[in-house]
Amino acid sequence: MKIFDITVIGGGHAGLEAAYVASQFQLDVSIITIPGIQLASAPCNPSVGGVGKGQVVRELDSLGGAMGFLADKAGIQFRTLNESKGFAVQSTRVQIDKEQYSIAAEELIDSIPNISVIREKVLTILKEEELFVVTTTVRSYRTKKLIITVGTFLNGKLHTGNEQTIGGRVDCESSSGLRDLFTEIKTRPARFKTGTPPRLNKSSIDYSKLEEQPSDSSVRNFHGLHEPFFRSIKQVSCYLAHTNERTMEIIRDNKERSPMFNGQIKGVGARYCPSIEDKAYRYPDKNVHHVFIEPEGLELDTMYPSGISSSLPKDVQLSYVRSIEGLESAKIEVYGYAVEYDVIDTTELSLALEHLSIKNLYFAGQVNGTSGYEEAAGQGLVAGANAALSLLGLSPLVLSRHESYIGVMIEDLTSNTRDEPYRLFTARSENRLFIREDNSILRMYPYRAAFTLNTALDVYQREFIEQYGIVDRFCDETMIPEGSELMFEFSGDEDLQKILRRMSVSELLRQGWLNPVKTLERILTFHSISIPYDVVRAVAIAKKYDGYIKRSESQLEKLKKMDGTRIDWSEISASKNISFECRQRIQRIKPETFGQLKLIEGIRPATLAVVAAKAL
Amino acid sequence: MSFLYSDESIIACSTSSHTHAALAVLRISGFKAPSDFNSFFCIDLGPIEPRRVYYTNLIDGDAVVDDICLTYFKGPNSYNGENILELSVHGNTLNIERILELFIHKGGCRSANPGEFTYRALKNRKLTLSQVEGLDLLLNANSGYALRQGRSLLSGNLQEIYQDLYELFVKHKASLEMSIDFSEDIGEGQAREHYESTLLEFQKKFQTLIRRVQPLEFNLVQPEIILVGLPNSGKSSLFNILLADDRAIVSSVAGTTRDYLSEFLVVEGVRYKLVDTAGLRESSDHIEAEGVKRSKKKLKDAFYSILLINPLEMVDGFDDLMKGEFDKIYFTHSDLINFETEKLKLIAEFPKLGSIGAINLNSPKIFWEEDLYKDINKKYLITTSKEPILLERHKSLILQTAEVLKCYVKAAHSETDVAILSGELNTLGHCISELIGIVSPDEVLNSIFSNFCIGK
Repeated sequence: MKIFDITVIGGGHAGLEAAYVASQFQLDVSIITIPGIQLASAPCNPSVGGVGKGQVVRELDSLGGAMGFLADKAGIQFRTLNESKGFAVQSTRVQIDKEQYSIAAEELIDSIPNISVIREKVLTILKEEELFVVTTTVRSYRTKKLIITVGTFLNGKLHTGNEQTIGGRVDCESSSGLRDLFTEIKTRPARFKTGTPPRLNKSSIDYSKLEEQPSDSSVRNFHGLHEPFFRSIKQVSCYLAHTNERTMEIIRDNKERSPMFNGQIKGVGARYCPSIEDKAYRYPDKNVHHVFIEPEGLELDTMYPSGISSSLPKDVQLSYVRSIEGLESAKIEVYGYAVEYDVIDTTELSLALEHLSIKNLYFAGQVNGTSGYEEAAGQGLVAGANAALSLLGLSPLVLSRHESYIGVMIEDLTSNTRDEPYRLFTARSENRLFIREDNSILRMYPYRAAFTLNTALDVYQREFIEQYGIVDRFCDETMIPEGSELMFEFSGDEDLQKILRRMSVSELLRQGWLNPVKTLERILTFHSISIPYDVVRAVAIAKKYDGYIKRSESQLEKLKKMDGTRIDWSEISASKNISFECRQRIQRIKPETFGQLKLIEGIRPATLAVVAAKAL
Repeated sequence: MSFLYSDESIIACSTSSHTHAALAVLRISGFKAPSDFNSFFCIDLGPIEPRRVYYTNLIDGDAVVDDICLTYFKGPNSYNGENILELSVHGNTLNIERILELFIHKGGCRSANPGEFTYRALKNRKLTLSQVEGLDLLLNANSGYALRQGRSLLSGNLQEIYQDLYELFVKHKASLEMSIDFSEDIGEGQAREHYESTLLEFQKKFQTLIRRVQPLEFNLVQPEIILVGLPNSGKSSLFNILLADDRAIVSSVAGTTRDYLSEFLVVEGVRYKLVDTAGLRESSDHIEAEGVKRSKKKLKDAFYSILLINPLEMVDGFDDLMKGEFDKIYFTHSDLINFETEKLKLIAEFPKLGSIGAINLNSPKIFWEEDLYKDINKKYLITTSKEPILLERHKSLILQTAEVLKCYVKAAHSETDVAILSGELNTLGHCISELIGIVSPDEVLNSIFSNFCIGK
């Protein structure tokens, strides 16, 4: 019987990245996925990227992942979010054609000879000496490394009103409980919940009443090797609608029919991705919420109304949708639903995402309690790369939280038990000014280089780093003379200002009144230096933030010392000087460091002060 | 940190051990069980009940050392969370020393460092940092106000304000982060509104705090009344009159009081330190010059200052002296001839002297003393009515927070890069965290505990 080097169970975003990166090491890889679902399908929102997530896609791309490449291929609307708020928090988001995205994924995997795709349902997993035996409905497979990326399919249960079906998503069967699959793995007692909105018929919407958001042609593609601004397929618009008083009234009037609020759903959803019921009941004074109407594909006749995910009964869904201006005669093609599923306890995983007590077993994606395609993909790549690196005897890929959002996520996941689905956002990073989209190659290059591969991507990144060094030195060494007439040209945009004293280009780029990227471009052009735009942009933004990053690093040093202090949660939760409520939270979350304690929602400063005194 | 923590048993006398007294209280802390000390007492400490007073003899071998009362406080329900034994012994200083030595040499105890009992209370989460500071204030207070604030800190009142402030900071920080991470979900207008309203809320709360901190604050923990004047202007005479004794050496040779003398003077229940300074004039005598330098420093920190002027003996340095601010100015030597003319001349030259009383230090003090005491007390009442915060660390942190807040508010209106703005906001958060005691540099602890008396 053939023995695979690495087997990935699950063909979603995590599974795809795991298999794709592992295949680059020339290992024998297989993906076992439930029949009837295409690879990397997008069961929820038809978009890739977003605030914080765009950074993850770039990190993936720089590490040799597939997500950026696929999103470019299937991208039908490109936008930069937070464009007016500063470079560090700007993120790219691409609306994707869901069909095209999966087609591109299938084609990509098809083109790789050392990945086998097995479309069978897994029944059991056994450990046999050093190997895992995965038995499907058809036969058994042996593998040295096993990566589990089963998403929401573990004990999945769907809810629409009081209709309940077993499954990981609509019209798909669910995997059995993890307990049946693999008796040694502990799942968390609490289940998680996520949801999705009803899908609307494309031609039943009155677009004239909605605000149009066209695609932005100035947004750079995700994949480094792609032509920066080339679009593979036709570009279309998204539309903005708003809920109103009537919408929210309908939802509030039907509270007792909501599975989330009448006790039918026990799982915990993310506060950061609330359903429309959550919004209605939790913010009774607020009636106007944004609803983004996003195309699911060029050929698909459905639109995805982002912001109104719901598990209310079908009649309620239809009536609140139709209360929204522009959606008065909307037809619902697929009703919204909530899904409850099992997740594993990620504190039992290492930073390489390997199980601490069962060696050679890895977990990635939504089964680890995260939400979002990007989060799943980020973990998938880390798990896949580590499985491969470990087989080859190379050191593991452990991304620092100070250098990447993927690192932030994995450290957060493995160090702390969460009581809701984990979503990345920029506030989770202490080093936001440094972890940007523009410098992902700079940040990821050392990690990618440690794979010791020599692909086109590696050649491209080496060149990037070399050119970055050249421009960086140029900025430090080139002096701008005081009051030179040329200087007027160097000021950003329309705003003309004279340089009052001699300074280096680096120093000039720190000035708040100019656009550092445009300014550096002009200076380089003046000196007849031709450097790719990506490099210029990365250096210019780095120069702008230089002082701020140094300052925040010194503040971080102080905080890190305190935050890293180990605490004994069991002792703290027994302390009478701490309020009962805080003690309960501490017992549930079990923080191990002062920093983790601080992150717990609802921990009063009084508690922090009391604990800090002990930690001194 | 350099304040080394060890969990040995420690002992100290918690009451004053410098003078003989009827009783003294000795404390032992950090032992495993009271029966560890069975050999020192005539009763078996094994079964003793906590928080009950036992009368027994303290013995050293066969010899009875003292008859004492002992109380056992069982940790964690004790002052510092450890097992504590409190001994009430006879307050003869020699007796105290003998008992301390007995426990140190034969009982395995170590002499406690200053503040070590309280340090253990902090370690065991019985007190927060600002409660410890309150305790320090309480123990060193010389005015009713300082006493009150010490108590209030100990019970956590000021801490509550800081915590409210911290929560408002977190709320504001969240609004900023929300505008970055969820800009699409909430929309620009609403995000901005939320951002501004939470900032305003924070500023408003902070106003109540900053009002209680004036950059130039008198020392209210050890309030001082200071006497200043040119040499031979009658400072020492006034000092003696106020104290009604002959503590200061009164001499007619200018420059006798080289350093300063001080005595306590109680006015309306507040214990002031009355300070007689060296004459304020430039001097070639370097010892005296040093005294003058110290006088000027003292003047700056003093709660109440009295300037004495002898209009008949004006010398160089008066102009310089008149630059200072005084609470009271007295003319002295009014019994001498030419007093009135010289006084008028002086007032013409320095209009600031205006309607200033003159006292004849040889005349009965009932005429002016009442007025002086009233004035001192009035200042005390006005000053304390603003509820000034007395702890230096808190004062400087609040002032620092005010500075950072000012910069931040400015940036909030001009900085378009939200990531940079968020960094500025972190600096503000850091200040408040220090105030609350969430982040406290080691040096803070060292300085607090070095102030403490031994036995607390």
